[in-house]
Amino acid sequence: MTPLLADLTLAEAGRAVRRGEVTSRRLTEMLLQRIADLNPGLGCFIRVDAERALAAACRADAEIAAGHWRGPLHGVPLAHKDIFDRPGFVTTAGSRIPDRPAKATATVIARLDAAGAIDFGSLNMDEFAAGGTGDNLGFGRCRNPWNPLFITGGSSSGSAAAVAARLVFGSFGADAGGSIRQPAACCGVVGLKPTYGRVSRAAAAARSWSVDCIGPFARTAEDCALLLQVVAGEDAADPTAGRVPVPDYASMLGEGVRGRRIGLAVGPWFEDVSDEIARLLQDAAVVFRDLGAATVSIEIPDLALVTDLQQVLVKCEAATLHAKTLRTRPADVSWRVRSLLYEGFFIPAPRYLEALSLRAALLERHVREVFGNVDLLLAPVNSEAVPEFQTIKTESDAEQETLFSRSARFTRFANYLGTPGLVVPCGFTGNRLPSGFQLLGRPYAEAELLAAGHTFLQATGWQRHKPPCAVDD
Amino acid sequence: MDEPQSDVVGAAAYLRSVHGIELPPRRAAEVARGAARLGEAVRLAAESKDALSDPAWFFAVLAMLAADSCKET
Repeated sequence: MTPLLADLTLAEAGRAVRRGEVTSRRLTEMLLQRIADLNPGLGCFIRVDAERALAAACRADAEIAAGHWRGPLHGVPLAHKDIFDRPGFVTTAGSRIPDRPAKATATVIARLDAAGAIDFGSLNMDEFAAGGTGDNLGFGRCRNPWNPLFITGGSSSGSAAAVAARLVFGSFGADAGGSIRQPAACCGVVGLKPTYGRVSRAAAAARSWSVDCIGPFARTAEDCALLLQVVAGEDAADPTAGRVPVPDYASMLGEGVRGRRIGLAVGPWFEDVSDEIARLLQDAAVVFRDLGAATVSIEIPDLALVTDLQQVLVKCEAATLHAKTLRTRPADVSWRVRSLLYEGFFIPAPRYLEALSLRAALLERHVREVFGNVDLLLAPVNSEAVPEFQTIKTESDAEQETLFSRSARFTRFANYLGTPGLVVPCGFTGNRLPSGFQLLGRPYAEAELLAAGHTFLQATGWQRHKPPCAVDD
Repeated sequence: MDEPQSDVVGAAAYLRSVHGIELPPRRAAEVARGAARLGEAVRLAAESKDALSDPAWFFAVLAMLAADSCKET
């Protein structure tokens, strides 16, 4: 059986284009057809730029034929969460309110363009990135490719679902409390929340300035490494982009986990997971031991406090970002999002500044007590199997807050601390939906995380499982 | 009226007068109570840990604690 071109990994697609085994135009036409066939049922895209993508693909083919190969992303179709500015297009951030075309180009988009990647358009997301289900009332539900009755997780819903459904080879999203990691786990793909400042946020719509991290989705850790490589590093347009050197991520994938100490997150904070999620985590730990890592149980300090502190930052900053909209057009913001924004108006400025001022000390303590003992930390992403849309009860503001907090219980702390986390698919729950674990590391440990994820997937092959919509046709 | 209020009447009035946002009084009080819980958690941490520093130090600490992979290049 000839594998679908769409089944190629990003790395394989890039190599095939470079070698002339397939043209970028052919890949683009094939995926545009898949999008036409599947997107009406999945709701991954807010906007598809077919003509632009085809023109860019033709340019890529011409450049490669002329001997000007830009790198592994040259000619490779991607699409991204609708938070990145591109002149002439409206960046919606998942809301129907924005109506003015952007004037600037987001640094992430500019760097991907320079690498020769093909941008298919903008992907669906939770409204203003304030949600964790992918159920966007303005642009429609983004549905899980493994079963459209189930949620994708969010807020980078389309970024995860489009990759899982083989509509693009990779994507970018953003994570302020789990918005990359949750949908990656729910859709069975690899998702990386980098260290705060590893990737420029210039000209990208914010959920919360202090904790937002932009990162890639793909079906393999290798593909995430290639995507991160292109966008990582300092940026004059974003003073928070760190000046820490950017390693060659792909070249370090083979380092594996032999001799590494992997901590298994334990303690009261992590006891509230279902038996099947716990079993998948235990199975993953066994795989890492078989690959030569030592695993030890470890408690993470301050989790309740750090999660509250993350919420203070997010709520205050989101209230600030959307204050004018809430004053002037409250009816155009869904009640779900409004319910998550109001608390920020009631938190006094000294509390917000205290939350920021405690950050350095708590990060130092976290790194000392956790990464002084282990190299990487293995933790759950979600406490339960992916739920169906119809089982999610958000009839009231209180239910909405409870749902959101519960789904982000294991992810928010890394945003406050600024530390990186990689989600890796690790099997399926009883409802036949995928699940994933997160590997967490010390600041700027993306190379170590990607190497561990790569080794795990090479050993287990979970990345080769395909959702029903991607089975050969 | 420039301090957040958590009673039913005060919360809605505070939101209206300070931020220009309308919310039903009972809902406003509920929101204010949630915010007060978060604020109290932060206040206690700031008092007991004696660890407040210039928020900008966070960026320096992130870089200082960077993984070896970034130091070897």
